[in-house]
Amino acid sequence: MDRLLDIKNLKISFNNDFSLTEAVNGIDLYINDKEILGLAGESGSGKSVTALSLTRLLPSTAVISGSVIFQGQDLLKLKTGRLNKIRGSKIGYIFQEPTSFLNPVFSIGFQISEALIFHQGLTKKQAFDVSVGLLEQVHMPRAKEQMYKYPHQLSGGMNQRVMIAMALACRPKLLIADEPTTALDVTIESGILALLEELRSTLGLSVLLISHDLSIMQRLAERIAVMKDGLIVECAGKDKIFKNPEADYTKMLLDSVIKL
Amino acid sequence: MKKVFRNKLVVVGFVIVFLFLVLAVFAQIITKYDPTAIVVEDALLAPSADHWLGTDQLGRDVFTRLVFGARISLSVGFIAVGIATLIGVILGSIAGYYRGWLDSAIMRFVDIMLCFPVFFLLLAVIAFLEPSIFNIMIVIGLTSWMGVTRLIRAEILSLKEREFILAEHALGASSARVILRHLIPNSIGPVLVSATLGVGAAILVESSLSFLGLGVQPPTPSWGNMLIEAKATLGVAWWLTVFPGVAILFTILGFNLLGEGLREVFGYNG
Repeated sequence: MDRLLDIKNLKISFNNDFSLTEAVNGIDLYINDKEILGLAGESGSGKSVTALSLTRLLPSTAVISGSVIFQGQDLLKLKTGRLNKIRGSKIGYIFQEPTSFLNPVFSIGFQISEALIFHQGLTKKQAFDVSVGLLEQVHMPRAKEQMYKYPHQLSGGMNQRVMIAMALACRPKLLIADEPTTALDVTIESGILALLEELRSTLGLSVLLISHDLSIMQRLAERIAVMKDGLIVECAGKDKIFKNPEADYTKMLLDSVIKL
Repeated sequence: MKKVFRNKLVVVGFVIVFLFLVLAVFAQIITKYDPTAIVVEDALLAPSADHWLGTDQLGRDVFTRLVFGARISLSVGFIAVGIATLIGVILGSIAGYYRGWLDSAIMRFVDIMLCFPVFFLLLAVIAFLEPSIFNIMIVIGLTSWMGVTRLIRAEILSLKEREFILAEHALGASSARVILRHLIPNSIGPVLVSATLGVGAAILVESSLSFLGLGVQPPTPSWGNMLIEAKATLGVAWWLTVFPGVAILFTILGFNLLGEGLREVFGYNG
């Protein structure tokens, strides 16, 4: 299988005048084409920092070394202008707290259309039509009406659907989902996960799914990497992780999953 | 919008400002006199049905001059504040977004500008330039942008750490796009408040400058130069000083009430 994204020896530290904090201490990770890779670990283990570093979205105090090869290019060495062409169009992000990741002063429709206008050069009218289609694709009821709504008028689950629509607007190859359901109710979580699964197969997406919750991983991921203190302690296929984990930390994580 | 007009300060301020705006825009229709036509035999007439607010020592109708003066005062106020706001928004957003040496340079320049007593700076500059409405607008604008710069910078500093800005970068938006389409629209509230208050302040400055003879030049009527012309006849014709003074008072009151009201509605302090 082809590797879509290949991370080699990634190190991230945060440097300010007073201290140096090492967040990620050299990890190797790859994602195959059309694969869902789970990245699990407790808070503070460096999962989100890793996700943001892939397209250099970290604040300027972050020092990143190593390489992130995506379609033959090292994203860590690319000029920001070139990187902006990849962000959003080839690599899409969805985040944990959907409502605060949407701009409060613009309508949903404006925000979904925006990336279409600046990445694909569509006119406002074209972008509007495509956006309605996207909202329908993420199963937004009465999609056309919702285009004129503002983020505060929609529920968290609806806003997460909007974020997914935004992330998928330009048909990216890779979707990075950073705790996509942590802020949502369980029933809504289930709906969003089903949607991600469906989109993966209809659009041929690869997904980097980040979560502390192994039950989500069990449902979606094909391979799982377990992270702790900035290192990957174990990376293997789903079955192996769940049935025959090697690292002690993985066993501990598995034990901490609430069973019904 | 409904919320804005439920605020009493906003309503009162808006009505006053709107009234002066109507007077200024429809000056020609409202009055039948020419603001600069001299009619010597009608000099210093007290307010009457013919001349609502009386006439001055050259027989010009005071009401007409006030209404045309409103045009000058309001346009000076709006354009000066427009210039100041434009400079402030540009410099403030650059400073707040890019930080680093650019931020330090811009903010130190702001500090330097704030060191000068603005009014004396204005006097000095106007003394070198030819005093005209046009120069006044520009000079007032160029000496009053510092507050807006600080305001915008502070807003941008906090806004750019917000999550939706990260999401915007993740979508591949360029820095210029993030600043223009996302940061500035989100920080427009406090700018609106300070601009509204600024219009009142600029009108006052213009009146003061005209009063000192460095502003709008006669025969063009302006509230400030009407006052200075009236000074000579203060003992005989009270209407010459009272009405321009009241006009200045109410315009500034209107803008201040509107600004304070907007501040209450948006919930900003300071």
